Amino acid sequence: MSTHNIGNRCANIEIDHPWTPVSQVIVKVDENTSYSAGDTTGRTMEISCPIGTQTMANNLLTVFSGFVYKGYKATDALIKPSMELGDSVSIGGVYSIVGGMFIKGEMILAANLTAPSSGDIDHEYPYEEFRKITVAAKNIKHGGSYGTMHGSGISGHSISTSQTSSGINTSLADADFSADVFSGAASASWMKAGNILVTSGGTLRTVSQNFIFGSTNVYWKAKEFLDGEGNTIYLHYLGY
Amino acid sequence: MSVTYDAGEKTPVFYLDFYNGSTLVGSVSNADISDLQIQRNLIADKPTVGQANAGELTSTFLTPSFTIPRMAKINVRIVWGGATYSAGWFFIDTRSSNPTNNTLTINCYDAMLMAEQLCPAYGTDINVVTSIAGQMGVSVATSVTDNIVNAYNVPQAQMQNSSRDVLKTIGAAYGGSFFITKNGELGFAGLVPAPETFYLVDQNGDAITFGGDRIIVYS
Repeated sequence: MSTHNIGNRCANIEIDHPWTPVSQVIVKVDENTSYSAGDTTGRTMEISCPIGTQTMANNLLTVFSGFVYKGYKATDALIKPSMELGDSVSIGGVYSIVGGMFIKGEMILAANLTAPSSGDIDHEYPYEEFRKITVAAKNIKHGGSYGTMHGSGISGHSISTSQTSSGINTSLADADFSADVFSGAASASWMKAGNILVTSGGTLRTVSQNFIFGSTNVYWKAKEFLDGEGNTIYLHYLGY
Repeated sequence: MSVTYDAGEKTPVFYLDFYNGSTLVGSVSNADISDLQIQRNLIADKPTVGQANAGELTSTFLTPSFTIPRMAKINVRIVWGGATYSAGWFFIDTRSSNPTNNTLTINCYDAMLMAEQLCPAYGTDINVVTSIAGQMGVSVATSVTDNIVNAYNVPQAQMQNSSRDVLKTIGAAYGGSFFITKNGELGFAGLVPAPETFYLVDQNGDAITFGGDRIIVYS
């Protein structure tokens, strides 16, 4: 790959606001599996790759760590015919890649060059990652039956609860729900507050509500945070 | 390699070379071409990785005296400053004639569309890419062999997908995208540009030379 120093030799150039440096890579294998590397101090790059692995995420972090994408759109840039897609280009004060090239057969060898705008996919928060959050309600002691935490929020999103010998494990297939419903006829005495492990970042805020369940003062709490699209997501649990 | 741009520009001369297989059947030059547009994208619409975009050629020219075969292969050639450069290899998709003006308009795509068939192989990524290139009838550019080096496993299940989708998957695994180069090969490029270089200068901004050569430094 070559580097082309075009300078201001173009009719017009629009330059996008550059990214913040990349600090994290998330390789999304499918809706339920992803691998991440790095931290959330900078921009997160989400890459869909059905053959993804943790090693791949680590390697991609090596590639993208500190990378600042600079989008631009230059019209009638005077190029040389050796220019190829993926070449580096310095034009109008921006240093980027030749992401697109439109050549018209004219009297001068000019092309419209682009590295497309970053605006449309510029996620400050890796909101898709939130869908894979697992909430492990550990240490919840229970009796012969257990209640079900479920939601009546956005359609298509659900919370699932499973009973094991050591407690109730609650996981969210999709975290976009906002209900505070506890169903189950059993006494609340077998419920005990457990640890809620949120395995991904977000803007967390705990809200709580006390209520009487049977003869016991039971409370529910919800972890409330915002996803990358501004939606509020609640993660619920019960305790006494 | 750093390409320096001179103050004076040269006038390009475009040629459309028509091939029937590997046999050149005729050429059309600037004098007969009224319109020629080439659109090629490594990344289209948004800055993502894992793309495999097809290049497109549209051209209108005086109907040539020779017969252009169906699905003819076309090389757009640029003669510029005495040197000849390829601007892409394409295949005719549609053609329409205008008897009034005696012109022919063709719309063509490059070999990336040949990847719209089931993936022929699984296993190590570079072997899969090579098999796909063979399926497409193109060779593999050095940009592929230089970059696709981590030997990621492409499982057999990927053979249920199109070769183009598998190229996207492998491209994403390396933080880049596949494309058809100007020379008609299957190429690869990452989203991250090469490190920016500068001339080493003194406090006055004058280039410092070493034996007459300027010194290039990375940022």
